[in-house]
Amino acid sequence: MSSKSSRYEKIEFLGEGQFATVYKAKDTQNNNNIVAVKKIKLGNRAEAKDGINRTALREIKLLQELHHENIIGLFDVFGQKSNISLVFDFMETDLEVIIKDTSIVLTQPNIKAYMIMTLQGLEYLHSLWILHRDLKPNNLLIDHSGILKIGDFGLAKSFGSPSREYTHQVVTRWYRCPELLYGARLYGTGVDMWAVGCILAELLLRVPFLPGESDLDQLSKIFETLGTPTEAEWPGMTSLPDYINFKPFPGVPLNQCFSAASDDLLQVISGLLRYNPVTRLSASKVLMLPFFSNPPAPTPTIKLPLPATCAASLAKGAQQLKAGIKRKREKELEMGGLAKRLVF
Amino acid sequence: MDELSCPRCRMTKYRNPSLRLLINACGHALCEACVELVFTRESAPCPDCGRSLRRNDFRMQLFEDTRVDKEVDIRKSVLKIYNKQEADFNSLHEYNDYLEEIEEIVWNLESGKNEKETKERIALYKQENEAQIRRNQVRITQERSYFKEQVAQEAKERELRAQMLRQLDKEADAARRLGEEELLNDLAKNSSLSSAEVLERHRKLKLEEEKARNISSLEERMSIGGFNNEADDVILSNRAIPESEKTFKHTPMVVDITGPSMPNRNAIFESGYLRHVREARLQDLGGGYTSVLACERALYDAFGGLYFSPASTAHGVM
Repeated sequence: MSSKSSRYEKIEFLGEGQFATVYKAKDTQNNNNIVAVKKIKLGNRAEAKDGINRTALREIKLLQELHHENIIGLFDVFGQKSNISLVFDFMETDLEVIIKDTSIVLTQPNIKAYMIMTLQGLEYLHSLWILHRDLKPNNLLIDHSGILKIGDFGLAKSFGSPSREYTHQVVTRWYRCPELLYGARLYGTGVDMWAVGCILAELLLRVPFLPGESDLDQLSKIFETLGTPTEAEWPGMTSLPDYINFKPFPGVPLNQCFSAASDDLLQVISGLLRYNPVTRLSASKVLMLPFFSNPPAPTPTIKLPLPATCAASLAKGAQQLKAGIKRKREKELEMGGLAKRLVF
Repeated sequence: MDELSCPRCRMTKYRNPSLRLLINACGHALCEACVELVFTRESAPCPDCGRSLRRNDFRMQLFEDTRVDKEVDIRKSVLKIYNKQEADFNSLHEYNDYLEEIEEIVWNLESGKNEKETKERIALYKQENEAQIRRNQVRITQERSYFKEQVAQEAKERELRAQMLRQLDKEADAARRLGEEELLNDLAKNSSLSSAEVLERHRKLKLEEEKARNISSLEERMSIGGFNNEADDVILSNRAIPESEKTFKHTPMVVDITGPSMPNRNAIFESGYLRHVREARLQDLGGGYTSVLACERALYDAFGGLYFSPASTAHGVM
């Protein structure tokens, strides 16, 4: 075990989330490949009592068995003292960064390529009876060669069992589908497909499509945009646990929301954002739609745009990274010095 | 000169030479140590005016007069919203009115007069022109990146030209040295010819060579001039979308369950599989759960791995 923790050499601190801190590291036993090491936080006492953190356990359990080009690869898991760390592919950036970077122009072939990669990863997951349950641009990671991989399996779960009820408090609100907002306890692949629909809309608009401020506001945003559904359109809607009656909105026609989108693209969006989760298109069905096979062809992954910062760091390589760390350290030293003086 | 000091802890530049003042949106300065102390959380009220500030918004004070800093901040944020350009207006007069409006807003915000009204006005403007603001933003960033590209391109060209000239100088130098050597050799060897004749012949040769070189270097220089256009072409072709790529054709995924093949949907309906699954309630249907789904899942679990044998693991795992 101790040999494993020394196998990965930290290069840089990348970020910190609720459950983990992520470092960029190099694998000294494998060609000094760059990897991402996700160190799971122990959490408070109540969480630690269960043993290992639940999200980490989900990630380890599922990702060990998943191997697909568009799913993040888990290379290794190792423990060190009371910590546990997961070793992943190193991903240069994510879709959120690309959407927010206004200097990048996303063309239709670009969007097509991103959607194909997302949907293929999702088709694989769903065919193995796994729901991701937290799809959002932030979790669609992109590596240096432009390949998109679905990441963060902290909420993923297998589905399809009739006796086990699930929580509806999953999926980041803006990408949450109406049946979850109405408190459905048994659900299927529709929850992921709705999120993909929202992501596609966001790729086109470059701003979140349905940015609700609360769960209720989310529902009203959805209905204002797509029209209030009826029981005929969505059987079972009124019997969902948290159903509330909304005043009927007519909705905005999709071709007005996405004035630049072609008809075959609108067909994809409307297939993904269907109210009835049973008829909402599955990943395989969406991929069969003419939008994906029609010209223009999807951009080859290597030609997909990367944010300027990534391109620069790729070009300059490790040297700059080292300098960055040094600078950070100097800054820390400075801060430390200041703090000491204050104590005196 | 009055002493630079932090308004909160009264620390002065004299007592602590490393004192640095930071400034936030309200225009009141704080030293780094105080920022650390007051802003242990993400946001806190300004000790001077009580306006709630975010820690991340602190930055170095650039001007001695904090009001200038504040105005720069305000102007930046206002211009982010009021980002129309001259081309967006029908007449110069309208554009000037627009610029004047911006100045008025900046002044209002800076002086604190009619602050609330002005903010409402900005919010209204932002709401009304949201689409255009975003469009302009994109355009501005694009223009900026294009400009940067151009500058980089020019620098590259200059570098290339200098390199070419250095190369030419070097070649000329080498040629001259070679000529002198030849001359000496000839003088030594051709004792039959008079030294004057040899000298004359070499001068002629040299002249011819120089002429040729001038022509060739001229040609080269022309080609450097042509470089410009070529570079533009490269940029253009990068922007255009290549048409020749292969279109996408989806092949549905087949999952190898290492077991007997699953009955298809029709068979599930017709052969009574569904009798053994709890029927989906209306509530379940609303959530996207169907009896067929549960049935398929159960069959998958039952059939999957039945044909598994340890021998197949060698390649089966990957």
